[in-house]
Amino acid sequence: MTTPGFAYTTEELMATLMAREISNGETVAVGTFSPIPASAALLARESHAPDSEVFIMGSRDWWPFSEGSLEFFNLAQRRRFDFFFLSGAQIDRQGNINLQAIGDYYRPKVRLPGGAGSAMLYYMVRKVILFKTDHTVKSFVEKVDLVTSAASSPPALYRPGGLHQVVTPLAILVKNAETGFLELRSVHPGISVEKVRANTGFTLPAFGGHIAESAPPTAEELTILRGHVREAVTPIYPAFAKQAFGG
Amino acid sequence: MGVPFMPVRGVIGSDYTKVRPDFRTVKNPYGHDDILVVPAVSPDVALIHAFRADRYGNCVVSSALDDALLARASDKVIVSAEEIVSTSELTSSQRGNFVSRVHVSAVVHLPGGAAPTSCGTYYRENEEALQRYLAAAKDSVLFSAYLLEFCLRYQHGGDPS
Amino acid sequence: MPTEKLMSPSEALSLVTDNITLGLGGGPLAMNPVALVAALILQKKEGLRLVVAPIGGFAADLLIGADVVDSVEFAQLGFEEFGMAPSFRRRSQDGSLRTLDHT
Repeated sequence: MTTPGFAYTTEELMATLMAREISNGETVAVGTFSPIPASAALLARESHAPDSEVFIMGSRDWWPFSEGSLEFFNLAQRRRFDFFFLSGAQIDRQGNINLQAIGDYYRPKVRLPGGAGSAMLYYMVRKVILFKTDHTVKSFVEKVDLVTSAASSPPALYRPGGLHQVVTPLAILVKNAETGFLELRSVHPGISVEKVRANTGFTLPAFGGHIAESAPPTAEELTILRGHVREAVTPIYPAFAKQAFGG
Repeated sequence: MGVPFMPVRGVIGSDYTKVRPDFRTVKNPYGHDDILVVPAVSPDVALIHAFRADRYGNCVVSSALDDALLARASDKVIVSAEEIVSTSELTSSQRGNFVSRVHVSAVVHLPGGAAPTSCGTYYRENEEALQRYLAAAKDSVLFSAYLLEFCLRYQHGGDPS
Repeated sequence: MPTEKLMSPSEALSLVTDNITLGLGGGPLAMNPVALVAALILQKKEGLRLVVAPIGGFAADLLIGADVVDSVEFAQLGFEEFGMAPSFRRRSQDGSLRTLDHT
C-alpha cells in the first residue's frame, strides 16, 4: 500500500494508528497473540509517550513481574491499566467479541484458543482497543456466535472500562454512545468507504456524519518501527517481525 | 487458598455465565454491585518443571509463569528439575520463584524435561520438533504411532538440540 | 534432615491415578513438564480432568491428543506463533473433549 512519499505495510499502519491513541504517561498492557499492539506500545514509548509504562505478555524485557500472570491480571483488576488490546475471531455490531467457538459451543465448527482474561479486561481497563488482522463479512458479524466478552453490561455491575475504538486493516470504527452500535470513523489511505461496507456484515453509518481518512505513518514513525520496534518485537514474535516491517 | 470460591471482576454480561453454570452472580456484601464468584481450582496432582530442586522438594521455578501459584493450589505436586543441587546452593543462586518443599511430594531429576518447549536460559524451544508434532497431530491415525515414539523418546528428557 | 523426595519418574507418577484432576505448569511453549507427561501417557491412565494454569499449550495438547483426559479447564490454549493447539481443536470440535473455559 503506497501513499505519496512512503511505502508501508498494513501492520505498520495499524501499529501507528494505535500508538497515536496513547498519551504520555498512560500505562499500556499487551496480552497474548498481539504483535501489532506490542509494536504500537513500543512505538508510542519511543516517540510521543516516553513516560508510559508498557507490559507485554511473552516478553522478557517488558514483563517486570515476579508472580507470573497473577500479578499482571491483578493490576488490571485494580484498574491500573489505561490501555489493553483485544481481538476475536468475530466482532459484532455492538463490539462484543468471540474468542472461544464458531458455531455451537458444545460442538463447535471451529474451536478457538479461549478468552484469556478478556472477560475481565474488557470491563476493567479504561480504554480497550479491539483489533483484527482481517476485515471480512465473516469476522465482522451482526451478532457473535458466543459472547466471550461483552461491550456493554448490566448497570448493577461495576465497569470502569470499555471500548475505545476498533482498528482493522481497512478502517477505524468507534461506538455511537446513543445507539450502542459501531460506526465508521475513518478509512485507511487507498481504501474506499464502499470496500469497508462491503466487507462488514452489518450496516456501518458514518460516525458523526463524516468519514475521515486515517493519517498514514510518517517517516519518523516508520524509522522507529523498522529500527527499535522491530528489534524489540523479534524475540517475542519472531515470525511476525520477519515479515511485518517494510524497509 | 483453602476457600471455596473467589470473586472476579467483569464477566457478567458475557456468555461465560451460560457455559459455566458453576460461575455464580452474587451481591457484593460490601457494596451495592453484583459480582461474579468462581469455584476454587484445586488440582489433585500438579506436574511442574523447575530449573533446580534439592532432594527435599524445595525448588526454583520460572517467575514469569504461574507455577508457584499452581504448586500452592494443588494437593500434591510432582516436580521435574534440570538440576538437583544442595539446599544452600538452591537458595543462594535463586533466579526465579522459590517453591517450598512443603508443597512438593516428589522430585524427579530430568534434564531436558521441558523439551521441546523452552526452559529459561537452559535451552530454547525446538522449532523443528514442534513442527513435526503439529504435522503429526493433524491426523488422529498418524498421531498414535507418532505419540508412542515421542513418549518413549522424551520420557527421559528430550534432546534440546 | 527433612524427608527425601527424590525419586524415579514411575515412582513419582504413581501419585497420578485415573479420574483425578491434573494440573499442568508452564506456558504455551515454555517450561512444559513434557518428560513427566510423556511418562504418564505411557502408563495409560484414563479419565483425567486437566487444568491448565492458566494459559497452556504443548503438554496439554499432548495429553489431550493421547486421549488421557476427558476435560480441560483453561483460560487459553494455543501454540503462540505456531497457531492453534491441534489435538485440542480436533477433540473440541468432535465433541469428545469437555471444555471448561475459564475467564
